[in-house]
Amino acid sequence: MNELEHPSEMEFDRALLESASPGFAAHVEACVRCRDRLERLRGELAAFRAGDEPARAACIVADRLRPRRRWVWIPSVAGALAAAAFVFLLRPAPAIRTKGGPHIALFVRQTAGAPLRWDGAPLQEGDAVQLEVEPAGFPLATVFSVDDGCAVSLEHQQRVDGAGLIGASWTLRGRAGGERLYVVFSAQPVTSDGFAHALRRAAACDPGRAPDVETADFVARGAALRPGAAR
Amino acid sequence: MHGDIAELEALYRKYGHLVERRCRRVLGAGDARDAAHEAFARAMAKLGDFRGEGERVAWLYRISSNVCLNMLRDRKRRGAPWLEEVGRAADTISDGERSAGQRQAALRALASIDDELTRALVLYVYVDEMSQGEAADLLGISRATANTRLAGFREQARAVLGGEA
Repeated sequence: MNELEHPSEMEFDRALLESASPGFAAHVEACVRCRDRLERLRGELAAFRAGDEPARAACIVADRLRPRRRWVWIPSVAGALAAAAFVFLLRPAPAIRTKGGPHIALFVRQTAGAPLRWDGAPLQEGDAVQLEVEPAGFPLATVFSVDDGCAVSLEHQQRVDGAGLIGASWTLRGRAGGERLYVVFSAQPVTSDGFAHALRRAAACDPGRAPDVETADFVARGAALRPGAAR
Repeated sequence: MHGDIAELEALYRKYGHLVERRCRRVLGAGDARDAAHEAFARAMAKLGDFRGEGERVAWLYRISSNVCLNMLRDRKRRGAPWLEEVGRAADTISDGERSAGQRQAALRALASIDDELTRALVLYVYVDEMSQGEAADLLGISRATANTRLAGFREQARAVLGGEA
């Protein structure tokens, strides 16, 4: 690069991390457009670092680094959209509700069927689970699965501003276990580790049970899904 | 490293913007964040390969290139409306006003390239606006090889883009 050649994107990225080459500095000194661009990018970087995306991303990245469990929940946006039309037509009473506060309802769509309100029956491999939530003023809903060893995995996180469907569904794959699905309602992102700690403190780790868990930071509603044998 | 949320968050706060910006240039806004999370996870899993602060940007570029190219290939495999999708992605590129038209054309023509090395080279030169020398160094190939492959790409791109017109 010389003073006539504009720097590459990588040169700009190096400059944002304060490791620009001397050539970059000389070019920016002479080029108004690149100087303006660098200033704009510095502003974007400052906003990014001050925002909540790094905390949210850290949860997601940590979850991707965790070894996979034998049960795999496969998020399916298409399935969720297909289920949404059906669920909103029915509008049944919530399946899991605690007086006051947020609550959730579960719907299950079998491999070839329409989604139905979950009645507590064992799930089968291939069944898709859809969640409807009433956040009761909490702005953030985070879905965790908890296996029979109380290992927690972050499945999904989204902002919520009223009752509605979570924007993903989950399809069960693998062998049966004591799977539980929790929706955590909070103002700030909740990590898998943080939720696992809360489960242990609340003595809520027993397989097959999904009691409500409430802390100063969040309210969690769960369902023990009792997977059955594969079809 | 694994599971240390506070450390991950600190690293993402420092480098996440770079990775997201890079993925957005290639994939558009829709998939960029997911790609950035994946690239960052891969980077953290390979933290032992990292050879020093001065190389960190190039190292993150290489990892995010692999993730983005995989996602582009998956789109193609899924039978997604490939050219339209990549064209839309290019339309959402907001930074780097220098050659948006060139970048869009390069991304559209990229659909016709199967060779991974050439695709990475095209990303570096046409999307990241690196010089051929910079891109060759990053990929560990000679400048002559880079020049030959880019010449082949331009020829193929002319045929593809000419065919669309």
